[in-house]
Amino acid sequence: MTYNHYNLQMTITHPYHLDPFYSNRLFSFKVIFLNTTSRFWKYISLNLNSFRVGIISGLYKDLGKMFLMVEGLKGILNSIEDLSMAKEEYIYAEKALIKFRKYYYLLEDVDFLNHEGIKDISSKILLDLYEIESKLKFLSFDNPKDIDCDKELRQAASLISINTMNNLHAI
Amino acid sequence: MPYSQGDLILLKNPVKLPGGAELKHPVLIINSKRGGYEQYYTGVMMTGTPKNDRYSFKCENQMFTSPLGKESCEFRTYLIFGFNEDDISVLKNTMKKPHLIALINQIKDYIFNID
Repeated sequence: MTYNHYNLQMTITHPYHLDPFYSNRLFSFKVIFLNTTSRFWKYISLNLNSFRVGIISGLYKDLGKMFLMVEGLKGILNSIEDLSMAKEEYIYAEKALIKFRKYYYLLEDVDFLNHEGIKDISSKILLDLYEIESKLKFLSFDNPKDIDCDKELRQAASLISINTMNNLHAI
Repeated sequence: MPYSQGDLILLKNPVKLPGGAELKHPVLIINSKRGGYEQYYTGVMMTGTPKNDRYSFKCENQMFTSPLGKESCEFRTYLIFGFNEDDISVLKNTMKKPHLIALINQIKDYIFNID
């Protein structure tokens, strides 16, 4: 499967799949280290300051690379038509979303290290991963056959809407 | 009290089904502002019964400003309906922005097919 755009080519080949965590850049270490040190920073020797700044800078670069990767993966999505491939890739896309969400929560917990760039780019990556996951989810699952399992909820939604319409007083 | 997009609320009166059973489900407000004179809101239903199909949007505690207090909740993205401000009983929680945007995008893309 190949994605052509402005002479750029991006290809999914085994064993890479739709996974933006494609190489070990100590990403998890950086996020966990920064999350922990941010909580206790005022108690830690300032000698570590330049080390911490270096890690923040490295994390920002990693996020930038990951953002490019995720944007590329979004482009590939349009060419997925094969149902079995969609189902296979959905598993990886869901895992990537869950994994990145954990890192996002850690960063959010420390107010994104007061770094607007990290906040902005990690939010964009999160939204892109949500988009990839929802597209593959839609392709992978058929319309639910047991739609009756939502019968009560559907009935409730209809009744509330009808009651609301009846109670509206237009000018 | 004006409510905002992303507020998770409970409706004042549980809906009575034809069988007599009462339903009181949490609902997330998805419209960006009240419908003017009528103070009309649009919401999407949340359920504690996971389906894991193309219409589900799974929830986690961290997606909200306070814990949900229940495991494995999800939104049923096709169960969208309208209600008045008077129908709202209590504000239970608020969904954080990136997750709310993702949910609304999913509804736009796969329920209403808006480009």
